[in-house]
Amino acid sequence: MKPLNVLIISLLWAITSVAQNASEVLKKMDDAIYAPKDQSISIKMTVYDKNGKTSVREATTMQKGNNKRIFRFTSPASQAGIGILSLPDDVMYLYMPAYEKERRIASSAKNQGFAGTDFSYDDMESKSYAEKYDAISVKTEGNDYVLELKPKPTHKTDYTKLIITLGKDNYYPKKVQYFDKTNNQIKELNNSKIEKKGNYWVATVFEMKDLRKGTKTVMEFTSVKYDSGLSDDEFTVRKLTQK
Amino acid sequence: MKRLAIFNIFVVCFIIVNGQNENSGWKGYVQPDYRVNMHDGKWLWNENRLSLQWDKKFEEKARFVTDIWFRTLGNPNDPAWLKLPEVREAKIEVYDFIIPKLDLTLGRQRMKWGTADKINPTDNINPHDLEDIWDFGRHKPSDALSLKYYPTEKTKMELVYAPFFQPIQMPAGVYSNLLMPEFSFPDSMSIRQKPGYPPLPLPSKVAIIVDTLTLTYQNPAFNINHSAYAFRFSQHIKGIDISASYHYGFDGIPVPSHAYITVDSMNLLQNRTYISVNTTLEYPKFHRIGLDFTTSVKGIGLWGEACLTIPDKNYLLKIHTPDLNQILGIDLGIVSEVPDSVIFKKNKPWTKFVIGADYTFENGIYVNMQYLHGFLHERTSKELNDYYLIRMEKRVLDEKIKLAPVSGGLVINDYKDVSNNYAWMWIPEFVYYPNDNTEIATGVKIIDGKGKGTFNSLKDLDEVYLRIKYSF
Repeated sequence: MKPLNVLIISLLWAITSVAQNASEVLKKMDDAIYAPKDQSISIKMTVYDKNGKTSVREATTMQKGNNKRIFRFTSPASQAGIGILSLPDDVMYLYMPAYEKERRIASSAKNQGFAGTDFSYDDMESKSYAEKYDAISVKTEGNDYVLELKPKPTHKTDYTKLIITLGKDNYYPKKVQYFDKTNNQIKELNNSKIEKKGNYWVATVFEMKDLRKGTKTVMEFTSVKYDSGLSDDEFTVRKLTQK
Repeated sequence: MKRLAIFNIFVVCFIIVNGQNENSGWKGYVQPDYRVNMHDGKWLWNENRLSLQWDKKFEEKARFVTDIWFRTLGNPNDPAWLKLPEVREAKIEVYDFIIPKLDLTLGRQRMKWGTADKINPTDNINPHDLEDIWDFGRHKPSDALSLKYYPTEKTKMELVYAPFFQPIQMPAGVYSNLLMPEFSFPDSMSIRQKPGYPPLPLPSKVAIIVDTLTLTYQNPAFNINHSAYAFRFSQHIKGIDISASYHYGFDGIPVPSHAYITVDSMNLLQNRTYISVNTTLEYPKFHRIGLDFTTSVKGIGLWGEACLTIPDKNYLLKIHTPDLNQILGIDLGIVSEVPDSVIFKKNKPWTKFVIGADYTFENGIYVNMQYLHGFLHERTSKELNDYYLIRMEKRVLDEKIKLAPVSGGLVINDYKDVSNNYAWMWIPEFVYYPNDNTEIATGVKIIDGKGKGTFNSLKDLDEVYLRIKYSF
């Protein structure tokens, strides 16, 4: 075998094995995030504008597996009752009490800010990372893995790259960096208060910074309940419109 | 007025008492809305609305919802300025009624059908509320019983029984004549003599000029035979939400059914007769078959909605002419006739439809475009006009400001002579959100066009508006 061939094969092997490792890490991370069969969570979101002025939103959310989620605002008054139902195959419905019926959300809206926060609909989606992104590389930094992801061709998103820092011990993400087309970092998510609750690792504080706007949103779980046996009926348009 | 005051005091006491209860769900909004004519500075609209809503869910079994509007509208010096409190919603929802996944809703309610954005040709159970013509899609609440059954996660069946008829709410204030159907009375009356009378040199037709027109509305009898029924089947298939619906009931816009002519003065030699007409208006009954869909393709939201309207019978305007012999005081065997006018024919149905799309670009600009064939009040194929509507908006400055510089539409009334039969509307808007619960909207509505279209009659009413909404 010629030396050049050996080099190419070695490189291919190296790239494949890196990708394989990265994919494994990605899978383990998804498994850690979506380990609970279902979750019922009360949320407090504090939105900081670039001058540090705050506004608070409160909501409840229920999630089953990694493809069904219902989210509903409970305050402020102007947003109370607004609900979002995320279902498999990119199907999302919005319910606004003033509008009095559900409405399908075009998937192009998913990259926009979610109800005035720094999270987008896409960030709030219950889909696993592996469904939306391919793992490109993984490296070790101290006690963490640093995983690079690129969106799958089928996934429409403003992000061109994600760099996720996750614990080696629990595979739970600590930090997510979001990049745009020009390879500039545009957002950063820092998860804190990561602890084991029952059988599951979970963060209860999520801080999303929009680096372009200089704003941030801190999402805090004020109560969490796992594996309460939520039925699929909870994730239907019927329940969305019942408030 | 005394009763109104007592009612208001009662409601305020009720709110105060219940406001102490943490489980009560009082909420609502205050919304002043002012509009002024850009040309002459006259006030076009002055509405101050307090919407009080109470919402209480009884575990997962039932929910009670009510919404009452307290309003002032128009000129404060007009006795009609203070409106009676209006119960917009007062309903109870019972979940899993008799069998699982069957939900019953009883009471005053809004049943919104159709998947299009705001203008829904299949949304016909509740009569249109056109009091504010710029509040598209607003309907009056109806007292009804509705059942919703969800046999699967992706299927919904709805059945509605609305026992009581209500006419539509026509536009108020300066807009009051906007949607009035044009009453085209024949311009002549034919005259002939019965055989056997000495022939007179009578013209075959006499021109008639309507001096006064009196309208008498004939409401359907208040009985069970005049209820409305509706059914809808909705299904989610492969990413598409589709629905088929049927509605049988009265239309809220009346049609003339009988016109009784009395002669005010008559000059057969000059071929001119001045008449008064007393017209009886009845409410037609229609079968309405609707189809709609909504989906998302490559990030673009798409929707379409169509409604086929079939009159339940032929609707004719019968014109009753006077006995001219009696008027002349001598029996000359003169017979006057005006042929019946056809309003709707059972075998001439018409279809209104809307198709639309929306998309949010990466830079946050949201675009919504719709093509509408047939506005709310238009009926029969001849009357349906085409409306091309667009709105582009973007939120800026941490979403505290919403700008909609491109918003409006084009109406084509006659494609054969577009330059003389069109209207356009430009309705740019600026919305400021100083805090989470406050929305301050201002903008202009500029309309121009040519011809007889509905919106052309608004072209002298270009306005600047200010609307503030505070939610609590």
